Amino acid sequence: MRSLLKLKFQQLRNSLRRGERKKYVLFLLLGLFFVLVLGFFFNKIFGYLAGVEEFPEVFRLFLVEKLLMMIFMTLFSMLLLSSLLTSLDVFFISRDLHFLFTTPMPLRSAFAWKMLETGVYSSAMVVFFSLPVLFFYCRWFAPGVGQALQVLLAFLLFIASGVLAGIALGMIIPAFFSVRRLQPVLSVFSIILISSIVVFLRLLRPERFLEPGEIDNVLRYMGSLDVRALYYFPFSWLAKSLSLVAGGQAAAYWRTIGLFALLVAALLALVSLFRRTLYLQLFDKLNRGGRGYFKSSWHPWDLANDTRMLRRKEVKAFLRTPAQWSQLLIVGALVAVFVINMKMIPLPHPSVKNFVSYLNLVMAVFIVAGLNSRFTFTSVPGEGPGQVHLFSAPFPKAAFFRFKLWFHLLPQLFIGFSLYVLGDLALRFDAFTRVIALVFLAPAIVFLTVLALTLGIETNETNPLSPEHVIVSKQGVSYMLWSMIYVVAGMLFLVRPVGVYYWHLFTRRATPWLEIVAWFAGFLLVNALLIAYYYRRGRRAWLAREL
Amino acid sequence: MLEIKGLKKNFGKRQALKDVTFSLAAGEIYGLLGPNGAGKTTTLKVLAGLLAPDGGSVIVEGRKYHREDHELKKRIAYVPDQPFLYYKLSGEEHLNFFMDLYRIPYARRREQSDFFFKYFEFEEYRGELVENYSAGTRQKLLISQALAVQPRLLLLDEPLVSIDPLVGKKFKLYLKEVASKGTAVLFATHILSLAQEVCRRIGIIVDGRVIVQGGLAELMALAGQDSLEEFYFQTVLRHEKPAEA
Repeated sequence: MRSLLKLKFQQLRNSLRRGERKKYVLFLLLGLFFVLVLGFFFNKIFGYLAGVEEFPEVFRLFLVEKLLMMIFMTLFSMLLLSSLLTSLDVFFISRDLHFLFTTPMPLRSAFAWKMLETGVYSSAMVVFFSLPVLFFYCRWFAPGVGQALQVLLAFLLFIASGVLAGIALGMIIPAFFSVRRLQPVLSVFSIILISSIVVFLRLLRPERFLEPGEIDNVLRYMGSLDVRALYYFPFSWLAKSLSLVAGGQAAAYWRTIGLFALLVAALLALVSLFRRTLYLQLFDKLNRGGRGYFKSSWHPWDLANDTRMLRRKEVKAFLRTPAQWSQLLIVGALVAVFVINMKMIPLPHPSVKNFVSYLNLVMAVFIVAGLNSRFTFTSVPGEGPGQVHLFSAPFPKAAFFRFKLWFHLLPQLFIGFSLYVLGDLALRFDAFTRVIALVFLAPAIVFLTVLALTLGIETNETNPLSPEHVIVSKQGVSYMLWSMIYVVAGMLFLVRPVGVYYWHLFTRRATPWLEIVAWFAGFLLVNALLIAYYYRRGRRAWLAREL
Repeated sequence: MLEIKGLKKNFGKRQALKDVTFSLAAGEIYGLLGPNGAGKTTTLKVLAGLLAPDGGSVIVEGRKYHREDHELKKRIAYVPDQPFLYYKLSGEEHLNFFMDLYRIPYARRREQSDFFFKYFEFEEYRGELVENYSAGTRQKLLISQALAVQPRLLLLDEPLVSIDPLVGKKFKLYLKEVASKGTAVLFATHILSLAQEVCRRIGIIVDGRVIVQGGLAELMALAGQDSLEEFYFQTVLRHEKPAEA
């Protein structure tokens, strides 16, 4: 185990030394941003609950407990699913398994190591997002050091129970289903869960919690919720433990902790039993391979078209990789939130909807930028080792570059304009706003797609571990930064013509169309130059590529 | 068929190919032998269009070859030293895709596909995704797709890695058959017994240069050696220690 731990540290150290520091710093910054936002939100809620004098303390603690139960229920579902997915990967699919099993390391040690890996990978996100909840709960309800330690103990047992439950399920499921087929299905399921949570949270309208009166209504509603079945779950016990710590009920707290510890011990014993009786058999079963059938289609009329076989290959590979197409579910959730935002934004004056239309444009372009990062940027590196055939075959490389561009550009244009149209249908923007959309959206989408494709080629990656591995490369981070700068700069550039138009409209003066058209022309010219530059750069990099 | 003169290739400061010169006639099976890192794979990659040379010339069928010459590339097929494949395609789809890239006429494609899946004994994996193939089955697919396009010049880099002896035997027989029909085969391998069995001419490349080449039987007779293995060791060691030789 010590050797494996040392190996992990060396890998981490090497990746930091080899210039992957920026990736970790970026992740840390993004994570801190989310934690701060969550922290602000929970500080507000807990602060209100701790301070509201109309409620007796017992009722306040009861409400807090209900709130915590809902939060930890969400986190527990995420933890369980994450642990299940990770254990299927770590125990059955991971590339180092064949290596580990051929060494003199005892199976028990290898298994324990894998359990540790599963625990760390699957719980990292849950722990990260729980930090603001626990921190501000302790601040308002359990400020003592001893109380904080009690909260920490209960939380650690909660995490352990979730991880072990996931591992136990991960040991049983392969007995009935093929792991290779199941893992992508579960990944899709987790994406659906995340997407549903995103939409659900938006529907809850969290902006209401900035109003004290609204908090009051929501909490009274929560207080009326009482589902007995939920009391038997670890998330309920954790919420209860935290409530008991705040109430100073030590005996009841330790009884709950005892229950937690018993659960963890039972799960540990179960996992140990599965290791002794099931694990190696299931590992052998997995290595026997699958029995799928994918029939090739033979179309003689396809020969005339240069790129039809590439299109078919792309579509087949995309549809057969759940990790790829399931991302569109998250996009669907973002679109749903986008539409909800359009409907729910308060409009103090009808003219404000034109301002909303610009937000609409910005959001549409951000979504397109995100899609480009996920799909267009990873497209050429994602060809993987198969690039050898594209290079060695009598297929023009320039045609392949053009194909990749059109294949990603057309759907992006469709999505970008659809998002704009959805907003327009909800709010009915004026004609000038629609012209702005045309002037801004089309070149923005083209530029972002060309930029993503070019930077993706410049990663020089020919066998990535996963799309995420490519996205967090130096070029991936560059793409994210440049796309954000572009969007902001584009919006700032258009402030002048938009401002000029509406100023003259409201002051009932003649609109200086020449000036407005000149600004639009300038915007289009700058975009044309940027697009031409990155197109040529990408094409050159692709044609000069060596394998 | 193929004429290489003074081929050079650098990777940064490292000169992978310093001066590679040899030729190959139609219908000939030429074995390119040499120690690890000598430049065999790099030579094949230049010919396959994966790398651009830094010097020298490559003439294929009397025409100067460069990697964007798609007309010439239609006559060249390459089997890489590792199974580079699209994992989310089935074997049949992969073969179809490859023949599509070479514009193989429709009438011949189905026939070629049926033949090679049966000939190399992996018919039952036809509809299976490549990601589920064993290393040997992936290699069979690679060989099948290169042979299916009926090239005039066939570039093979360790083609029998992970292949079982029976299928290996079939492959050698098929190779001799395509050579007899006029296809030139450039065969890079470490397996000297294989080279001795299959190749008519050989070239030994060491440190980016072809140090000896010629007819296999003639070279061995000249050196007074009975086996290619002895000849190879003698040649390579002499090159590495010229003073002692």
